[in-house]
Amino acid sequence: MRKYTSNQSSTKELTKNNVMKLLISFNGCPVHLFKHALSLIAIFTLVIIGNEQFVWAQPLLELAPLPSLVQEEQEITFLGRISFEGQPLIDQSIDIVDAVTDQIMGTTISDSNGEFIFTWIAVSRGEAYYFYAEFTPAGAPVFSRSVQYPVLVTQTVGEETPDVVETESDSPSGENSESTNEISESNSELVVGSDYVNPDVLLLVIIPIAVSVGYIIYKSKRRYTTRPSIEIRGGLD
Amino acid sequence: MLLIELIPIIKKELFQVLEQTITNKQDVAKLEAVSTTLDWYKEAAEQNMDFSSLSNKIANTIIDNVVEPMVEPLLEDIHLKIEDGHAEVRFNTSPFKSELRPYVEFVKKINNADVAKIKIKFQINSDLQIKDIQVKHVEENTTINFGNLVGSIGLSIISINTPLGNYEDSISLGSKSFSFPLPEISL
Repeated sequence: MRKYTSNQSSTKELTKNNVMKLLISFNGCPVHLFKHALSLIAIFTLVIIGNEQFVWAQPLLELAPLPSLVQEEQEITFLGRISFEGQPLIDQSIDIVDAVTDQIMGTTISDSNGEFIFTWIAVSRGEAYYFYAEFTPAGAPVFSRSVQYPVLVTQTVGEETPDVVETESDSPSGENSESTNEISESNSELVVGSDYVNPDVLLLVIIPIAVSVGYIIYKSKRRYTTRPSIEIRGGLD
Repeated sequence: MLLIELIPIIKKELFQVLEQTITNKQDVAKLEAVSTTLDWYKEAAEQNMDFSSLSNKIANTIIDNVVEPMVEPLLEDIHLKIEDGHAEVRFNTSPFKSELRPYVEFVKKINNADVAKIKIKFQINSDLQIKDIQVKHVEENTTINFGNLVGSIGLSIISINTPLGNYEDSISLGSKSFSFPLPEISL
């Protein structure tokens, strides 16, 4: 009877990821070969079935792109469609969710074409929303999610806006009040006072400027460093 | 005193001899060291640099380093003759042979740091003599007419060192005989 003594060597070979050597190191033991083959087949089967179920079981939830920058109190319309294997899903409840807070902004029902529509009055909150649509069938754990879209809601500042007055009164120094007033007078749509600096807006503005400045410095430095000068030296040996 | 007066004139004359010797030798233009150096000048935005200009720079650098050692011994002879105090003398210096090894080094610099060098080492053989020197002493005024500088110069490249490799064979650039007048100087 053959003795199977290849445990150690098989581990080493596994680390080398060399299947041929692994098989040889089993010393031809048919039982172990069969066990491994069976395990591999089982794993592949599970992966294939699992993948099929995942694809097969999930309805397709589409959401039309949203504007990335809107003003406060502007109406945003969420348009979408839900279908299953090409067929529309009718009278299904679709949630519009903000990914930042996981808050459901509203719920709508799909029509006879599987299409849904939802409107929302934009509210500024100092950071961007990341909206997506979600469908969770009643009594089922499986749900579908749409693509996510970032939406930044900017505050509209008018001369008589109470927020601005509040900012001025809250501002500890005269400088801040002046800067806020200047922005209001210039009819800027963004409040850039110290209390209202929106980090996303800053990133949108500052990063491109920083990258541009960096590129210009890099190019000028590169031009300086790559141009050589030639010096002539002479002497006697 | 004599050195200050004569050296610039001798340099100017010998420079022409050397430059012609280098420029006329077209093999030098084909040397990799020369083409690389010209490429460096192009990188340095000196677009007008060609082989002729490069020969000019090489000849200038060599002359700056060799003329004094070649000519000084001749002038020492003249100094001795003046001390003799003759009213009028006509004489030649002793012929003076020299073998000097000047080098010219092109250094590529970026941000004032040396990044690459090409060193061309030459050998210059000279046989010089000043002929027909006349010393006149009339009523406390002494003048020297230096006559003519006569001789020959032979130039050769004996080694080239570049970033890509070293070349140690000798390349003869030729030799040239010459005779040119030297000025009269009042002492």
